[in-house]
Amino acid sequence: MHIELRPLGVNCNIACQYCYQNPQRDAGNLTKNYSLPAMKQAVETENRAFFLFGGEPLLIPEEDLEDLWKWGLEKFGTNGIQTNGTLINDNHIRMFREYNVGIGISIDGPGQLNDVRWAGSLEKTRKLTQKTEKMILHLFDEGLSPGLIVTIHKNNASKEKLPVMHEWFRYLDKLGLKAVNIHILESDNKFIHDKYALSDIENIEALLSFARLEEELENINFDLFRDMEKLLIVDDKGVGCIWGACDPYTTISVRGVEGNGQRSNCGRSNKDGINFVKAEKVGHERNLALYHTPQEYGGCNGCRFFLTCKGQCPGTAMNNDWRNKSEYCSVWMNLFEEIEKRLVKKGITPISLAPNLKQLEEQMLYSWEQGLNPNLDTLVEMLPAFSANIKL
Amino acid sequence: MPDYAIKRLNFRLKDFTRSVWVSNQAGEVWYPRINQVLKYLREIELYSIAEGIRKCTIKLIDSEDISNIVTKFASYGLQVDLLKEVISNNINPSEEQPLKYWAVIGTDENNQVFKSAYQNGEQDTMSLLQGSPECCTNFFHKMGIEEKFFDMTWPMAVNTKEEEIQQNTIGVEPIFQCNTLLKSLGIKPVFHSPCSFNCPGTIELADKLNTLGEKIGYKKEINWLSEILSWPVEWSALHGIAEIKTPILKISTNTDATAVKYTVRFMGTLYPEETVTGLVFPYLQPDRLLISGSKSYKKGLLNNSPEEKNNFG
Repeated sequence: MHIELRPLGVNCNIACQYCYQNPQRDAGNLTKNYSLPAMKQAVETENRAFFLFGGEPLLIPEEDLEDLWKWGLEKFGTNGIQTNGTLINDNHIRMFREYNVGIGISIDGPGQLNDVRWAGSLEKTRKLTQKTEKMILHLFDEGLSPGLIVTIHKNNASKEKLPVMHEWFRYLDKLGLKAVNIHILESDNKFIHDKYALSDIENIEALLSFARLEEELENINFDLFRDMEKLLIVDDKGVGCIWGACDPYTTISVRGVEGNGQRSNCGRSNKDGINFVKAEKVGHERNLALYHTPQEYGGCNGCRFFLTCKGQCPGTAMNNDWRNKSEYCSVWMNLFEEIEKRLVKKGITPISLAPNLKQLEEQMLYSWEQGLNPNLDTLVEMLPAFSANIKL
Repeated sequence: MPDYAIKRLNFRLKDFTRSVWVSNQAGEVWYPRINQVLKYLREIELYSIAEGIRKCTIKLIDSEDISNIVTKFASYGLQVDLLKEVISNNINPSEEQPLKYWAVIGTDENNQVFKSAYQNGEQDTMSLLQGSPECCTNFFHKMGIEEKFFDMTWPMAVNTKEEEIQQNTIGVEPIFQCNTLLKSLGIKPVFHSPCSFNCPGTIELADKLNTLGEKIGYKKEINWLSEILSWPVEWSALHGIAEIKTPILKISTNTDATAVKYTVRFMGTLYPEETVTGLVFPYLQPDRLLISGSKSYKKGLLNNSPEEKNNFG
């Protein structure tokens, strides 16, 4: 678990149309300057390694980048960055190597498939996409292997576009790309959502197509499917934060530090355009409420995948209200069912079909009421009788 | 017109309250002020009984503090009588907590009347003794006891008899003397549950308390309290969680579990200096949307790229 260090807040050089940070930009809550000492002090208090984050963190002057990464390497032995890749130059590459910087690049696909990551005009958008694509190749040539974040939508994962995406992943796989984090489009803007978001069925088809593709690839892991399987077989340490009963007032998996040292949360929780300070204590009222609320009203009552899903990410909640379950409930349920079937075929009883599922749920509810949030493997250890029932 | 009959679900979350600030600066300025206001409210609650504005009050006290409290209240001419031991509904029962008791505080005569009412389950008498106007007492009897509302906010808003702004959303005029939307933080104008956001009896009582508070030297705290209670606030309830948004902090606390969202907007117009801009009520909204209102962003939305063959490698 890293810190997201955001010296320049949500300031960015491009304007991806679906960006979940647009509410904060629209509200004018932009960072005007930063303090290296204040940020370092906050990072030291948190006492963990940091990822440079934005907006676009490569807008930071190179001397300050070097100062931060040099310090980060001395303190923690590792650094990181999440970037749109459009501003990477040779000096950055030198720093990536010298300061052990893990590189994450956000790109939605080759050429026109990346058009929604808009840069002001079509010409400029295509030019910057080309630049990022070339930079990915260059990083591999330099022996640096980035990870990708890819958001899927109508412009890159419709039925017609999927074959292009598959070819692109095959190509990147041959280069040695290992990690791809797939996100379903999440936008607070209804117009953007209607224009670009895939339907539930389209999302399911796209994700299943990537799951099938993964089987033929040598290097690429689409974290999503691995995590969902790990949840079902109760081996969930290190799975993505979207499955972790995230509390939107503290977003424990995202420890944000702003340019002035203020602690903040994952930007997906900033629906009103305000970057709230992290709450002092964690609460799991969302998950407790979802457990009891009928599905027809936006809750999870009666769902056998509740312990694995927990209502999923509050940043993707229905009607932009974190008290609801994820608007993509149907997608996740379908995928869990698919993986569940595969596990059963292999003779494995997933937690969703455990005979004492109800008991496990009650144990989890009790833990949440205590302010705890155990992994499923820890939860199961609390109930030894369960272990006797699983066949692994 | 909005309806009292809201769709409620059959569960109640254990008690909790949490809050987040819009900025460190807002917290640095208002956290100490709010603490001073809370201290003032604890004092005025007792003074109002000593001065006869209210006949008595009930308080939850720790067993360890009983003798200190008895001594303290005796200095106001008041007596403490224990009513019953309490089992905690706290969301973290594993935390070590001393035994707690509900106690009534007032003159000996009024305490005896209260104790008798308590033993006989006479809720209305107990409310009246604590200073609740008759209209509020009757309303609480109907909504709190008969209809079993745990949180009176929505019934209060309906009873204010304003038109709905949109479905399940009521806007109420900003009469700070009736603003109980921040009660989960302990910030309140009166010590009873008002029947509406414009109850004349509540306004009168709040004004009396403020006059007394000024008399005993709490002018600064009263000004802060009035200011806080004059901010625009949005309260909404969904699935048993109330989220209460003010210009400088938002609160998550428990409420009646509802199937759909119900919203009350206290249409205050006073903003603290530390407010930030946001996209919706109750925040100050920007004149234009910096990104999604821009020409280049709108141009991007109109972009329809022609099909092209992509070559790799």
